[in-house]
Amino acid sequence: MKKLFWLSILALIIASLFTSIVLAQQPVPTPSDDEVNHIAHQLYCPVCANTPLDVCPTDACRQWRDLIRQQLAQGWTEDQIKQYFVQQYGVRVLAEPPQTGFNWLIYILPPVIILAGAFVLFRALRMWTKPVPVSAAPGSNQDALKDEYVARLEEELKKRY
Amino acid sequence: MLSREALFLLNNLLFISILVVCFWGVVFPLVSQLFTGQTVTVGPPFYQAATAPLFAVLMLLMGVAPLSAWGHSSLKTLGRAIWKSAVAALIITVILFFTYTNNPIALVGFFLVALVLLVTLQEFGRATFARVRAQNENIFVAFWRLVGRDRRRYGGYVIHISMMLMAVGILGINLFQVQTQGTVSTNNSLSLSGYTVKYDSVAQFPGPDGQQVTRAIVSVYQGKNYLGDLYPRIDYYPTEQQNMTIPGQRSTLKDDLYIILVDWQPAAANGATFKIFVNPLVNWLWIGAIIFLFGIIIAAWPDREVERIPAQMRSIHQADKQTDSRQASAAD
Repeated sequence: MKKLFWLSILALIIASLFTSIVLAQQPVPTPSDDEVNHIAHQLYCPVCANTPLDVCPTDACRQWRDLIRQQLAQGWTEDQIKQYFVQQYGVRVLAEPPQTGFNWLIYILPPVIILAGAFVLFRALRMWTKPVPVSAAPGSNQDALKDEYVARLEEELKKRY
Repeated sequence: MLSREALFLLNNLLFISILVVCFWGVVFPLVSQLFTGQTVTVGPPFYQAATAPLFAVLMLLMGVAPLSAWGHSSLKTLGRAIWKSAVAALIITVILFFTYTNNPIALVGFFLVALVLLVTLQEFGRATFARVRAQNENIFVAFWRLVGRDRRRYGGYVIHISMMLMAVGILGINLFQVQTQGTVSTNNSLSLSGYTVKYDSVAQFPGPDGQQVTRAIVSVYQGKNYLGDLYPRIDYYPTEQQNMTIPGQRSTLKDDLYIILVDWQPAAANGATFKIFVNPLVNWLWIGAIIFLFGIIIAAWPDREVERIPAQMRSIHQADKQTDSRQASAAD
């Protein structure tokens, strides 16, 4: 009887051990294609220029997508995966240049040029719409010219009609 | 500052700005490689973020500029001309907020689209009815002659309308596109945005151009309504060793459904991978493009050539005419 008791205890211990092994080996849910694509879409194929990784049909890209799936299954975050690809293949895998050093030029230059253009346009418009000051001397001269012109017109009209 | 000349110049500034942004985006990878040796990618997110505000201001200009006067316009005169269209556009935006979307960028976009369409239609209507009253013409005749008399202006307005329809398509595909991908076995389905796509079968056969065709048959349902079968396929050209993916496509004014047979795994009866896109409103982009061509034809249609007579000849002509008339009066 005592032997049976010890045997059953042993069986329980072995069973519980197996249960914990089985539990430990339960697969982490495989990341879906959509989860892989979400990250792959933000990365560019390091081999083919300007092709996002989610649509690139090459074998290399297929392997990279599988790698993303594995990394997601291991619990990597989106940023960690992107960082991994940048370290491996350079910043060209990112859809936009990172905002560091020389790359700032791409973000700074267009707004600067556009604002400069807007400023030039604004100045030009101000200049064109500013009323022209009328000074006395040229004005009187103009009047005199005008009078002379009008007098000549009147004279011509009289002659003809 | 708000005269039509000023707005035209602002319009030119915006076009040049869009050119500067796109040019800089295209050449920057070369510049970067030249100066730092580092290759970078300038992808869609840069262009979208940099040009979207410029396009928004351009749309606003399309709404305001037709109402401004040459030489002089003030906020008051413009406000008086635009307020009715602006209020109507606002009401449309509020309706869209409650029925379609609460995305703020989309709402701003739809407001601008509504404003420009209303202003342009109002301009057409106002001028046509003025002609109906003044010339006592039938409304269709009045419209036809109105456009005929100032083709460049009204062709331009047609182009404005086409631009707004294209904007609807671009807003739809950029802000509301949804996609999913999954591997399913036969008689199983994927669902997206109200559509259900059931994988029926797959077949491989040689195509007419020597290519190897892998074609899947899928049934498409909206809710429980059967909409039809689609045939996404991959054509493999052995000589070039290239795949060509041809999607199964269903197109309506509300949205387009694209089903792509993805070559992530070889397609077979026990499983094929499909990528499904729902692209809302994208058909309006193509309708807008056709109307755009129509607007260009109106604007660029050649004028009837005016008979040109050199000055000297004209005086001879006039002398002849005078002689003729004198002779005629003498005969009388």
